[in-house]
Amino acid sequence: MGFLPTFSIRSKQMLISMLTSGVALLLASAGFVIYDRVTVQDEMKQGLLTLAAMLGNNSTGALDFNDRKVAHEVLSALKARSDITAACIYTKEGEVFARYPQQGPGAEFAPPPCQPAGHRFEHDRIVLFQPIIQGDEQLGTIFLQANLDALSQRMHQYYKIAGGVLLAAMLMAFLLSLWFQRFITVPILHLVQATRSVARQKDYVVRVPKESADELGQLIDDFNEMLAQIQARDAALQGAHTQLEQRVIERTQELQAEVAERKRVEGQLLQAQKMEAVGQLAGGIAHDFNNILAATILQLDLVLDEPGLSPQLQADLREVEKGAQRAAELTRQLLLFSRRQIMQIKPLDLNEVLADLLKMLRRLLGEHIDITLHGEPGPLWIDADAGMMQQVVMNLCVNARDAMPQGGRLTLGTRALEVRPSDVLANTEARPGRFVCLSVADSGCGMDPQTLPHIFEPFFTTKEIGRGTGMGLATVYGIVKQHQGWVEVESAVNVGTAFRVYLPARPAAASGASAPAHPPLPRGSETILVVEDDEPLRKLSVMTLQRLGYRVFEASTGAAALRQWNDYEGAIALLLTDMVMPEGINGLDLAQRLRILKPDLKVIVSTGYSQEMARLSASKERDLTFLGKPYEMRLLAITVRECLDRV
Amino acid sequence: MKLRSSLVTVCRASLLAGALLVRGPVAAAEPPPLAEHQIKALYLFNFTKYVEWPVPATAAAPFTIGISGAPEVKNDLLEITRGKRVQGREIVVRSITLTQDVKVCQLVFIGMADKPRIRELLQRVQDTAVLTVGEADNFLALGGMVNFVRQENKLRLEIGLDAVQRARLVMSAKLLAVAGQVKGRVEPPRK
Repeated sequence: MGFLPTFSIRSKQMLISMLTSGVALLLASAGFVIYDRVTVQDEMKQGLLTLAAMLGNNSTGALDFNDRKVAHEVLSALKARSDITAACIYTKEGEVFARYPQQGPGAEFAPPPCQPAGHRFEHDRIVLFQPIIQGDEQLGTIFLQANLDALSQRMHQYYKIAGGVLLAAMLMAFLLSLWFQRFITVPILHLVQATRSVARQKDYVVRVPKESADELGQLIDDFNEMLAQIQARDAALQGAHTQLEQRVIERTQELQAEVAERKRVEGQLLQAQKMEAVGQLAGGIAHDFNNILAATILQLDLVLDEPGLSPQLQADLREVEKGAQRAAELTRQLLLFSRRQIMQIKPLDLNEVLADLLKMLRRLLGEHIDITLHGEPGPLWIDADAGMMQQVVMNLCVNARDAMPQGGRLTLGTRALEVRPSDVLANTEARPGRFVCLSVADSGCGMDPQTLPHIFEPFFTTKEIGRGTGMGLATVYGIVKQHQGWVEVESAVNVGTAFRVYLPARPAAASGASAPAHPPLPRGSETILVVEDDEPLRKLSVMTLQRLGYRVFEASTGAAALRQWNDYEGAIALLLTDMVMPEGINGLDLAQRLRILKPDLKVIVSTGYSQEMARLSASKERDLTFLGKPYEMRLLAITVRECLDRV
Repeated sequence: MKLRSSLVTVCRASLLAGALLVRGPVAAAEPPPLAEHQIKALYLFNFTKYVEWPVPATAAAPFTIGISGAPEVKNDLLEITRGKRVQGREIVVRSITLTQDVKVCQLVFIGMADKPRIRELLQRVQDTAVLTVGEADNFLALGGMVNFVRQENKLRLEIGLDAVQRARLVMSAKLLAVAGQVKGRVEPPRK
C-alpha cells in the first residue's frame, strides 16, 4: 500500500469504502456461490446415488439370471436423463455386464475398470460407483457418469448475478461515500485549507467553520482557539515591539539630548572656571595696583590743596592726576570683572537707570545709531549698585555701536519675568526665581560661534589694536555675576547680537528716594587708630582724617596697633583697620582683642575683597562697618562719621 | 462363465462351502463354463428371491425345496443353499420320492428323468402355494409355472403366469422381465 500516502484523504476514504464493501460483498458472494455449488453437487450426488440404486435394483434380475439384454434395457432408460453421459453395470467379478449408451453418439466410451463404492467430481463430470446389493449379497457394481453442464450453467448465472450485484453495490458505496464525505472529509479539507492559509500567508484571522460536534468538531474548535491565541499573542508582541521601538527612540533622543546637554554644560563650566581663574589673576594684580593708585591720587589731592603752587605746576599735577584716574578706572574695571569691587547696594529702578542714561547714550553713540527703548511699564526694582548698572548699560551699548560702524538700530528693553526650573536647564549660570531682564540688541555684524565663548574674557577683543581695552564685556560679566545674575548672548553673523542681562528682582517692597546731593564732608574730634600695612595708603588716610579734625594714631601691623592701644588706652573711640595684614593678626582679630578691652569700640574694616567682606558679615563679630578699597576721601569721611555716630 | 464366477463367490462367501467347488475355479485363469445342472441349481435358488410365498402357519417351518428326477441338480443345490435362508426360514432340499411329499414343499423341480410323473405331481399341488419348475417342453401346458428352455445356446426361462397367479404366489416383475416367454395375462396381484 505504498502508493496510498500520496492519495488525497478524499480518495483514500473513497477507496477504503469501496474496497471494504467490495471485499465484503465479494466474500459474501463467493461464500454463497461455494455453498450453492456444494449443495448442488451434493444434490447431484444424491440424485445419482438414488438413480444408481434404482438402476441397480432394477438390474438384479438381469444379473441373477444372466440376462444382458434386460440389463441393457434397464440402462437405456437413462435416455431420459440428458446429463448422464455414460453408465455401466459390472458383474460381481468386475466384468462389464451392460453399458450405456450401447450405440449412437458416445457409444465409443471405454468403461473404466470397476472400482469400490464412491464418487468423485472431475473437471467437467461426476463419476460414481455403487454396488448392487440384494439382501446381503452384492450382485455387481453400477457406474454412472454425468456431466456438470447444469452446475456450470447455474454457476455461470451466479457469477453474472454476483458481478451485477457487486457493480451495483460499488456504485452505491461510491454514492454513499460521496454523500457521507461531507461529514468527515469536508471538515478535514476545510481544516487543511485553513492550515495551509495560515502556514503560507501567516493569516491568523481565518477560522474553520465547525460542522459537527464529533471529534472533528472538537479538533476544529481547538484549532480555532489556537489561532485566536496566536493572533492575540501576535498582537501583544506587535504592541510590545512598537512600544519598545518607541521607547528606544525616546531613550535615544533623551540620551542624545543628555549628551549634548552635558557637553554644553561641560563647556560652560570650563568657561566659568577659566573666567574665575582669569578673574583671580586680574583681581590679584588690580588689588595691589589699586592701592598704589589710591595713595597716588590722595597724595596728589593733598599736594594740589597746598597753597602757593605755581599755576604751571598745578596744571602739570592735574595731568598727572588725570592719568592716575584713568589707570584707576582700568583697575576698577578689572576689579569689577573679578568681582572685587565694593558694591554700594541700593534699591534701583532699572527703567529709571535707563531713562537717565538715554540722553547721554544718544550723544555717546552718535547720530547713525537709532536707539529704541522698550521698557516694561512701571518701576522694575532691583538691589544693585547704580554706578555698576550704568556701566553695564554703557559697556553693552558701546559694544553694540562698535558692531555697527555703518550705523544701525539699537534696541533696549526691560521686563520682569519668572524663571522656572525648566528654563534653568539651558544655562548653568541661571537659577530659578523672579528676575528682571535687560536686553540690548543690535543689528550689527554679529559674531560667529567660535567667537562667542570668549567674549567675556578680559582683554579679549575683535576690534583693531587701540580701539578697545577688551575689558568692556568682561566688566559686564563681573558686575552681573556680583549681582547674582547672569548674561545670555544670542548672535548671528550679519544679523545682529542680543545680550540679555538677568538680575534678581527686589522682593516686593518698593525702594525709597534717590540719594541726596553731596553735603559738606562731616568732621569730628574723636581719637582714631588707623591700622594699615600699606604705608602710602595709611599716611593718606591719617592725613585725610587729621584734616577733618580727628586725632589720629597709626600702626602698620596688628602688633603695633596693640602697643599703640596700650599707650593711648581709653582715648581711642574708633578703629580703622585693614583686613589683610602681615604678622598673623588680621583686622578682625585685632578688633576682637580690642573689644575685649573696650567693648564699645567702634570698628571700620577696609578691604579690597568683596568675598572677605561677605565672610566678615557672616562672622559672629557684630557691629562692624566695612569700607571697600579703594575709597575716596568723601567716602572715608562719611563712613567714619556714621560709624562714630552709631549708638 | 459369469455364472460360474458368481457360483464361486457364493461358495466362497459361505463358511461351510465344500472344497470341491472352491478349488478349481479360483486357481484357473480361464475356468471351464458351468454345467447346465449347475446353472439350473443356481437359478432355482435365485427364484426364491423373486417370488413371495404366503407366510406359513408355523414360523419355524423350514423352506423346503423338492427335487424330482434330477439328482445332479439336487446335489448342486445342496451346496448352494448350505447356510442360506429364505424369508428367514431354513432351507431344506429333499427328493420327492412319494407323490404326496410334494405337498410339504414350497418349490418343486421336476427333471426330465421324472417326466412321467409331471402331470401327477402338478395336479397334486394345483392351486397351492408351490412354485413348480420343470424342464420339459410341455411343462407349462401341463400346468407348470417356470420352465427351463435352451435358446441360442443359452438357458432361458418360460413362465406360466396363470398358474402362478392361481397358486396365489407373487412373482417379481424382474423375474418376468428376464423370462424369455411369459404365458398368461399379467394381472396386478390380488389381495
